[in-house]
Amino acid sequence: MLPTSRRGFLQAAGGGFGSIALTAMMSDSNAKRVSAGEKASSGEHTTSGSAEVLNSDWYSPDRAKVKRVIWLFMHGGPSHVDLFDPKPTLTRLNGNPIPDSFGNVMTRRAVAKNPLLAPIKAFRPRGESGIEVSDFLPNLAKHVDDLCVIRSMHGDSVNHPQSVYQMNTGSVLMGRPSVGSWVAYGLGSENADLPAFVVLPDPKGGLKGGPPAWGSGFLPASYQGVTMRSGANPILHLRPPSGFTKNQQLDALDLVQKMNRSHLAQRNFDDELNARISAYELAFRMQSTAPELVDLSQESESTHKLYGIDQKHTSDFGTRCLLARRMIERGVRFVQVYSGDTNGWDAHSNVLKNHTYHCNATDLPVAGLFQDLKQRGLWDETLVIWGGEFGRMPMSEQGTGRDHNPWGYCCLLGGGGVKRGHIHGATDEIGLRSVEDKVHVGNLHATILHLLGIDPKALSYFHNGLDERLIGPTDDVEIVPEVLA
Amino acid sequence: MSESPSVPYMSQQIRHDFCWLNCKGRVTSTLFALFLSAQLALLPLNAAELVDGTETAIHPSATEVDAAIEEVAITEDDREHWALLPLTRPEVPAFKVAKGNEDRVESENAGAFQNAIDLFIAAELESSGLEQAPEASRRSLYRRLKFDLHGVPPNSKEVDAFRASTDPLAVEHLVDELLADKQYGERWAQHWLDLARFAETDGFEHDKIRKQAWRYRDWVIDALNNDLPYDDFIRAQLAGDLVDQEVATMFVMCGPDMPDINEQDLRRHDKLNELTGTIGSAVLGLQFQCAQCHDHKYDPISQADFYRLRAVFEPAIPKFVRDRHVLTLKNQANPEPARFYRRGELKNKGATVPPGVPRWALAAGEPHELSPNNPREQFCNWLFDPQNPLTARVIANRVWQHHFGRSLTENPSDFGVVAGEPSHPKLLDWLACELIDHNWSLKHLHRLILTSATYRQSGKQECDDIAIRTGVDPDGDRYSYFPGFRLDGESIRDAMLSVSGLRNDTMHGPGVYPPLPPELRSTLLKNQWSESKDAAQHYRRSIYTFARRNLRYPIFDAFDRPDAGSTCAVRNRSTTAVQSLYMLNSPFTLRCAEHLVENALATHSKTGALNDFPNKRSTAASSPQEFLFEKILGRPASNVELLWLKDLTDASSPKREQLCTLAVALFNCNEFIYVD
Repeated sequence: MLPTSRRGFLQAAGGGFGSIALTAMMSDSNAKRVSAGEKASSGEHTTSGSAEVLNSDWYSPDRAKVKRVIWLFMHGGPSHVDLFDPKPTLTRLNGNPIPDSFGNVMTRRAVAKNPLLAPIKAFRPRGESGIEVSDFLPNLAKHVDDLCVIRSMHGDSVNHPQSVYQMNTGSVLMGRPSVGSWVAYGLGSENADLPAFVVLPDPKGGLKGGPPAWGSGFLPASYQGVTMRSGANPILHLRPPSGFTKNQQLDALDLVQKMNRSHLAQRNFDDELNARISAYELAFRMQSTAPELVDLSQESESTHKLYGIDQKHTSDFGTRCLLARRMIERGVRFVQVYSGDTNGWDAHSNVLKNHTYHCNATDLPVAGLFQDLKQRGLWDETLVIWGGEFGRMPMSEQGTGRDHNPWGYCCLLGGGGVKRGHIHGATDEIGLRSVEDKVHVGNLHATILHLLGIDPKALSYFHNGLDERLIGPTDDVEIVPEVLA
Repeated sequence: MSESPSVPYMSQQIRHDFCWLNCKGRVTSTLFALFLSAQLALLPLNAAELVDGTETAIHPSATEVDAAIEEVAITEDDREHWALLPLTRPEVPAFKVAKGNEDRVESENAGAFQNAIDLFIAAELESSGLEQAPEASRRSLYRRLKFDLHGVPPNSKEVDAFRASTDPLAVEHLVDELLADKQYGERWAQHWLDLARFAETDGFEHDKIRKQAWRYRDWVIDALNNDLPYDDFIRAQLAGDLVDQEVATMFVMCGPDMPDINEQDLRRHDKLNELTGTIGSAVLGLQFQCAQCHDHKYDPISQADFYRLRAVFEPAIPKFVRDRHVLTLKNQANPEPARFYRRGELKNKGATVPPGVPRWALAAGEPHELSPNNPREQFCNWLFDPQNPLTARVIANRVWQHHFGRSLTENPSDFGVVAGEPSHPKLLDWLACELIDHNWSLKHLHRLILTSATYRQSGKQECDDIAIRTGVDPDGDRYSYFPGFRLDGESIRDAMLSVSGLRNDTMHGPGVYPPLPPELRSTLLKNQWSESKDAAQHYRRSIYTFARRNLRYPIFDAFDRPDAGSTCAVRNRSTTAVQSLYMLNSPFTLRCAEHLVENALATHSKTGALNDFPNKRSTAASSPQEFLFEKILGRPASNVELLWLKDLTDASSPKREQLCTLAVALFNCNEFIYVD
């Protein structure tokens, strides 16, 4: 439990990310409305546990199929035609140019005239559903009966950063609020001691487009993704710097709170000043909750094994998948786990080499996470997403690689509220373009919100004279009902 | 809120609204489809369908391209919107004495009015039964002025001299002195750089450095310090290349950019639309960018208005070349005629459009088109034409905003119909007229505002009747007390450097790289943050910290610095645990604390112990503890606080660690980062 303060520092603990944000927003001239989620989550809820949102403009508990989201983001663009979208025609046409009937295609690296490249590894039907998954992902494949494979995803840009932004924020431009920050704003925090939206970046390097991918845009900064890491320092500046002891910090905090309460009393109990007092209490609690959260020694050996933490090549991603599970257990709403450093799955020159590396690093941990969620009864209340910012071209690049393909690719959904062992949509014969039951990135976002019980058309924030929304200004962005259970 | 349309109205409207940022994400699939198809001359007729099933016309026929652009005429009703009404100097309200208060007025308040600002404020306050609060203490006022104008706290000698002064014009002289100091430009430049979405890198994937970008930042600092008249300030930024001030035109180009994009025409198109929206928002206070795809749905700004404004700048933007930056403006030889783009889409070219100014801002019958010869000069002439009411209103409101932490309008960059009327419309007009009549001198406006009784009022803690005042005026929007503000991240850092004695006052030059936590550095590409080798550079003022678009410096990020993705008129003001963790645990805080403690021990360890009888202590700090307290919070500790200090430290020979603890604690006090 929390260490006891020597001087009663914790006596007045209460509130949390949510309530701090609430009071901050009330004194924030930019914010014209307080989110209903905020209203609910800032109310009387105690230290932890759930703070169900009962009423709001956009949230309805009846609609909610899941409480939380784990998004496994395969940065760089995993190859759908080599993983989840088998194309016999592509095998047949291997080495030939793309048939004229496919027309012109825009590519990043002028690969349109390059010879087609057959799938790198064999596909096999898996489970009872018989959904085909390639040999790149033998462990993930074991769960395919519980997954919904969307084969008809499409986006708008052949470039990484624009597509990373679009997949995360709905817009190809920099600076819009990310899906996670919309969810944090829309639902509030379930745990007063942890942020609602946590990002677990790949420790080997940042993604193309950088932190704006999990930024809060025009939403208040309290909704932006908080990056956490495994190890001793999961959050930036979580511990006192070297040369400053824990006891010194306790003494300092004691004086800070005394000074701040007296300062507050002299200023007619201003909301914002009050919120800052709570923020210090929360910061203090996070110093113990966050390390406890990332302390995997509490997990059994078999759990470590399940996630591949005991093996060198899967240890990092396995650790972060296990962290994701521990976070949603503690009420974090939205967790993003990134696979892939700055280049990641961006297999321009050699799909076999690149995807062997990244599949080896992630396949077992992802399967372990799925199994663990199921055995702990968390699967049905969690939405799991597996996907990148786009897929890859059927044509080859530099002989054995593939260029970016935003025109057609796959995304996997699993968990509560989603059809099991189901394939939705299709690309054309060679996997170039999404052609059947097409799902735009915006439709995916709308579906994610819907599963969380949020009406994607109603979730809005007043900014610069407009009710801004994740799905944009037009109402033609629908959810994908066919993927819902 | 009451002025805004109802929520259902808004959401109904928005269904038809294609607003720039949003619609980019939504319509570009079509855009790309069209691009693919139209890009190659040999396209098959069904190419668009092949791409993504979009069936929109690929080759607009000649008649479509040249078809006259239809736009809704501006009505007299439209012209009656407050922001566009002709600007005339309003009559200053006569001071009316509230019944029963006649005596008080003569004895106390009559002399409290410093200038017309106070009469405008008093006239509005009258209905609430409140009068303005008495003048703040000299100490509070100095601290307020110093943070406002310089972004750093005053030192105790300065404050003492000001407190002791019997000069009846002491405040006026102080304001003049502060405005003449170079730190004024270093502080106020940041407000403009927020509007300019300034950063020194591109953003997007590679986030490459723009090696010359710092010159624009320095140009802004110097322009403000030299009190470059606002009309010249804007002229230089929109057309400085014509008069050997090319660097100032980086204002137009300093937004995000993706130089390695395949479609260089699209890059230029996006850039032109972005800069048009930014200029509309920052200079004119109109949300122009909404009109790039569609006529603005609330404001009478047509899509043609948007493309005419864009056409003012288009001839100064070259064709883009992959991986090459375009950072300044330069008139191009034989530029292609500017066009209208249906739905804002590059390949949906419409008719050519002449450069022009927004029709809404013109009197009936006035021509909105500009001649294609030097359209930017003409545009600037129009901006500062006595008939144009917008420019002066917008900047006068921004100056007010940064002094009071709130503007006179709901949104300082949106003077459109949704935003509602200003809280003090006559005051705003009066300020705008003062600006124009004083040769657009921003310092003149600063002086007027800062010497007003309105600005000099007590803040919350010095008003005896604050409960009554906040009952009527909860947020201080009626100015019945000074509302106070939280320092932004840049000022917090500068304040810590100042009080600790670490601050390096070197001005100007390329951005510096103070230490970055390794966890953040590892997320960057190689050489994106090469810590400055000379440690003295780490203590330069925040304005000189290298502004990387994809990674805001942690303390700035935590305290709501905007992301430089688009123009920002008002920063959010959030309160988060991440801020507290930074202030408590960052090595920077400890470094400042340790440096200050060294100083305290060197100068005060022999001079005295923390007095056992606080009531009897002398006024000057005599112990290291009191020295730290006064340095950081700018005032002596109260008796109760002295007891707290004793609780924390050994009274007679405090240990170094104890003093560090104390200094860290004081940096974390609300009092340190809030200004009354």
